[in-house]
Amino acid sequence: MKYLLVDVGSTTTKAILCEVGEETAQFIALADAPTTVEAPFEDVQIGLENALRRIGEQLSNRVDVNDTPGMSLVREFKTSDLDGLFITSSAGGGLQMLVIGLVRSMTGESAERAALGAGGVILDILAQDDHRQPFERIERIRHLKPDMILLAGGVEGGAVLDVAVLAEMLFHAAPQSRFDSMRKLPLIYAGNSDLHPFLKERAEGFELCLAENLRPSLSQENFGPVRRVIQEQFMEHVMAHAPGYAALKDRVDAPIMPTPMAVTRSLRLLADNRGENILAVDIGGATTDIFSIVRDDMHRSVSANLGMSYSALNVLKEAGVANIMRWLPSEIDELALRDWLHNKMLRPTTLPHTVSALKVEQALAREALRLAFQQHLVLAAELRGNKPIGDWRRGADTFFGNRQRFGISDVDLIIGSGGVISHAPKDVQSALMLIDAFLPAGYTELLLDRHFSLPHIGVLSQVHPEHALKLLLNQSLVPLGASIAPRGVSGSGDRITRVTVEPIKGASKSYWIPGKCVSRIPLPADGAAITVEGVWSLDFGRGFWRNLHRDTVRGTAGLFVDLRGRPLPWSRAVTESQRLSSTWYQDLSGEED
Amino acid sequence: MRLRRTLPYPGRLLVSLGEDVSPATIIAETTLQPEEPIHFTVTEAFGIPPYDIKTVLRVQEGDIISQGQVLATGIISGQGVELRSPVSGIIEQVSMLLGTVSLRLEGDPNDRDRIVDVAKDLEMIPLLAAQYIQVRVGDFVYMGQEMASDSDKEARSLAPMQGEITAINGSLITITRPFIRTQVSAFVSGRITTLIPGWGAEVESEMVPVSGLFGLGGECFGVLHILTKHPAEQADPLLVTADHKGGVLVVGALASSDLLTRCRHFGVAGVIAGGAHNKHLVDLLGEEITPGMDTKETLGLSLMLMGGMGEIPIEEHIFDLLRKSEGSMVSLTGLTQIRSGVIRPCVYLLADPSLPIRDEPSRQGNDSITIGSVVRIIREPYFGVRGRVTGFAENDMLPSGIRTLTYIVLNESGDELRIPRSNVELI
Repeated sequence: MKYLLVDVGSTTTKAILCEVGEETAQFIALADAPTTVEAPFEDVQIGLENALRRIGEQLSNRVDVNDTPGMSLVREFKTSDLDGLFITSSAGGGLQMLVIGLVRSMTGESAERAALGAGGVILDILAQDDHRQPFERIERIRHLKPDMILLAGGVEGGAVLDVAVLAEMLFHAAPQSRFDSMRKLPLIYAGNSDLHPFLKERAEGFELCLAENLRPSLSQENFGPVRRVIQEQFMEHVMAHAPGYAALKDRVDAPIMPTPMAVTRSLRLLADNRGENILAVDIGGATTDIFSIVRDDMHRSVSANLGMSYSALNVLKEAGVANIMRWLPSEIDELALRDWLHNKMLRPTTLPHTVSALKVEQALAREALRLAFQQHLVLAAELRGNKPIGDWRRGADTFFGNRQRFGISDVDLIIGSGGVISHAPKDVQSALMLIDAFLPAGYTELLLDRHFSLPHIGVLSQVHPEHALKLLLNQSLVPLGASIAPRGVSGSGDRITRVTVEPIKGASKSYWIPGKCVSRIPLPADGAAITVEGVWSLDFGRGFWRNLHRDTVRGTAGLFVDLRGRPLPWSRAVTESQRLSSTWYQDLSGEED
Repeated sequence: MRLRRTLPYPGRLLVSLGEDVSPATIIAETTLQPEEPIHFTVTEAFGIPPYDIKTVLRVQEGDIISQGQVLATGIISGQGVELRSPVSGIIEQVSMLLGTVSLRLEGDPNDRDRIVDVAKDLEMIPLLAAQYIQVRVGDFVYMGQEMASDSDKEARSLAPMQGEITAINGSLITITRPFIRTQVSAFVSGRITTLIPGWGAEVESEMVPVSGLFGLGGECFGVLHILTKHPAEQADPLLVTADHKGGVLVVGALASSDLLTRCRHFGVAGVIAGGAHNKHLVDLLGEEITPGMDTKETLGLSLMLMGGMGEIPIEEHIFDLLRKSEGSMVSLTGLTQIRSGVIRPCVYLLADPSLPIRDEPSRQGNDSITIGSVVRIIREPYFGVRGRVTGFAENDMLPSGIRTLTYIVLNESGDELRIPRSNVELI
């Protein structure tokens, strides 16, 4: 079966032609073209057609491509060769949502999670306690031009009047749609159902959709119904009015999906297949998305001001200049570093020409990812207002203010995506960025979404989940390797532990691992079994002094044994931290015992 | 060129159609106050439910009302009752849910103080009344907030308006309201072609805009002075003198920290340079420059950088354009927004018909670059270098290890450089 999978991104339209058979699953051709949703083109089909033409050029001996305009190319693909066309979209800034909750840390947070999980880009979150005056909220609503508004508030049988006041403020503000100011804006209400009659009577200026309460009680969140409504409204009221989508809508074999929602579907597919906890990151120019599926709970966070270009200076502000400089050689001074980052913000598409410039970008990525993960853990927290009963540890944690649902030690698999990771010159660099940013604990597998194809796979999985899974495992995700970071403190000697690598074919090799650094051990292309010898002071996941064994480890970057300890032993002085970080990486590919 | 100049809130127009204006001409002004409006619970006064507010209300949203004007009328216990507004302003919102009217205050900046005699409210002699005062100098009080009370007599003195307590003399409390006058000026020289009643006007001007890449500060105007002979030079900070007060200076390839400090000291209105160091700007601002920003941060002057961060020569044709305007009045805005509706800093120069007007290079994009195109490199290590494209190399490897399409650029010294496609812009 042949499928054409397209992600219409905010800047690039990425098309993948793939083929899935009984035994095989492969990407036949991949092509990009600039997205044409905005002026002067204002027709998304032009960008799609350009991407398809480039695919056609790659397959010129297989598909006859003419210079015909509009949807003819898609039609041609469809009639001649294709079994399905599937599209995801984040064009024009994605599904931009305004979220309104009653209390910021309760229904506000729940509504934020619901909107993020449905693939929304949150423009702002308004709440009764958001420290803004009512007129500031009204001005903010008028200033924003969302695609959709999500209003929540009150548990079932709870607050009504306060939510109604928020609704009235919204009616008074009368926000306009982005694409068509005459069109009614979808307003999704997922709060206390006692307010339904009031809204039905008063919300005549909006396209009102009533969904089940997303926070029916303090201890419960109910995202399924509201996410379905968001998805329906996205198709009916947002995509249908976006330039060029109306024609596209009739051509696709499954509803067009917001890109982040498609990514979550891919990850869910992978998590269900492998039965493991997953963390995935997509670092872009302006934002960093983090997705996690841990113990079957899915969370997505969008760090709106952490990114590699537009947001470079915000990373500098949030992380502090010293925290970026600690990853860099001492020759790069603060004056030059700041100018580089500022210029990257002003000219976001430029590429690092020199090794120093590349190091600056990768240092920035480490800090952006670190901060984004902190924000993710805050968002993926226990419900505020909920008192866990029966679980004394969770109860105690909540009592002492720790609402974290999971930690990095719960994660079995990290997937990296985004230009700075996926297009790093060497896979080792990609792996080290993920390790330094997330500081994985125990045994953690590292994967790379080199072609940014998770959205494509996700939208295909709506109709053909088995084929999507095959593509995901065989083509989409590239194994980088694995990280082993023990609990405990290693000494600083040259021979702290020994790792034995047993390839499927050929002789096994053993490597002595030095302390206080990250050692890289190369892995054969078809994988190998590994054994890490137990040490009295280190727990590799099975207890102190016990060996760790894995049957198959694969990856282009290799196996990373990280004996630096957690947290990393930074110094207060930047120059000392720079000296330390320069000694942390040991490549053992040339050394064997 | 037409510029739309409007107020954030409605006000009154001070110009007429066809009038010639200079950058300093005030087009419109308002004394409506930007802070939170005052809310009156109208329905409570009449003892009716909130959703019946419209049955008693005599004003509607958008109405401009003056002090003492009737807001609502109704009947209480068979008696006709009027509710009058204690202040002037504009009706911003009528809430049928809360039964309230929100009124944005109008206040005269020349009449900001109100003196309240607490002794009168508490019905006692001033010397005694002073002991019952509960507020201090520096406190901010809201309308209706208790300032003094005598629980024995159940007497209270309430603030008649919101504002800051600026003095307490015996039983007299002075409340100063933070009233401001918001004005919008023409910003450029020209003629009023369209009036926007209540809000502002459109100005048609002969001036031409020249955009920069990054800026700080708001709008300013002044006489243009050029401090360097060549666009690649750096102006000596000592060249900035008291004569430049209120002027706009072109300072060459770098606006250094010393130079900006001196400009600020002498009251220079604006600075145009090729580049500046981020660290210097952050030190002068006292805070980090943030992304997606709407640069309201101010250096005490308006700054426009043509090339970016670092020492970057101003493009020669731009420098020539600036030189032709030396000694004339120019307008400069440093307002910059990087994301969501890009806004670039801009200087408005007097049009010279003899000069060819060119498009800004970066707007043309890189798709039109071909062999023979003259380009400028926009990233280290060759930032600012100009050259001619002599060829292309597919999948070329950069020193950083990244593989991409590169242009082979022959620079002015005759060296061949391999530069990624995204690191050049067409001149």
